[in-house]
Amino acid sequence: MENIYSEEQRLTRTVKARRETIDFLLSYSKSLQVVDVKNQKFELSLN
Amino acid sequence: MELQIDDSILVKNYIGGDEKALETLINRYNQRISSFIYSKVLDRDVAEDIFQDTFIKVIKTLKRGSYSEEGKFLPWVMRIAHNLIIDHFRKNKRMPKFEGSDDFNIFSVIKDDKLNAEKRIIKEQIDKDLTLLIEELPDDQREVLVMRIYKDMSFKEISENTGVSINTALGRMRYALINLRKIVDRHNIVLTN
Repeated sequence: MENIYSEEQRLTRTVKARRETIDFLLSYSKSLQVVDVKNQKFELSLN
Repeated sequence: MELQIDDSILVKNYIGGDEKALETLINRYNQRISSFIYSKVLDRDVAEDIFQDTFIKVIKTLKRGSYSEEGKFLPWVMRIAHNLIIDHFRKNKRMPKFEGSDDFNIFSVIKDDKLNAEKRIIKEQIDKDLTLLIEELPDDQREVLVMRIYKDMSFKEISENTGVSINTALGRMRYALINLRKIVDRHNIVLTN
């Protein structure tokens, strides 16, 4: 009997991050402030 | 034809405070980065989480001023995503999780055998009622029933302890149960759980 060695082809799927995720990232970016105090960087998240 | 602003200019603008530049960058590479992550993890929700964590890292690095313009923006973001994918698999290897699929749910197989609070209270009540009913049985029948049910003794052991034959012990047990049913009927008691 012949063996079939071919593997099942993996389906490539194009996906996109959801709108909510992007909105969250943009809000996060707006709220994030990095302040430099004596060569030390501090992250401040302002809501 | 719309002119596409170069990534490096968008990055520079974003560092300079232009939040819109970040949105342009995310939208520009959303599909490529998401598809790349998804092709590795094959889970839509996990891919979404890694995408989010990737950009949180991007945002932090850019805002801290730690980004160096040595390479290109996209390969840099892809590298962050790639590292987070590896982290994800490492974490799952340490703590493998099993999630049920639509046609198979693990919780339908595993269940808690313990009685819930309501059923436990009912059972306690039944046990208490039964103890009182057993008291009404004739002494010889009660003795056999208690030894068999509560002390889990065999009929051989019961016969040895009470000094009667096994057949007599069996007969007493039979009558004990018949009489117990009669007492239950007489008192109109419902013994169910």
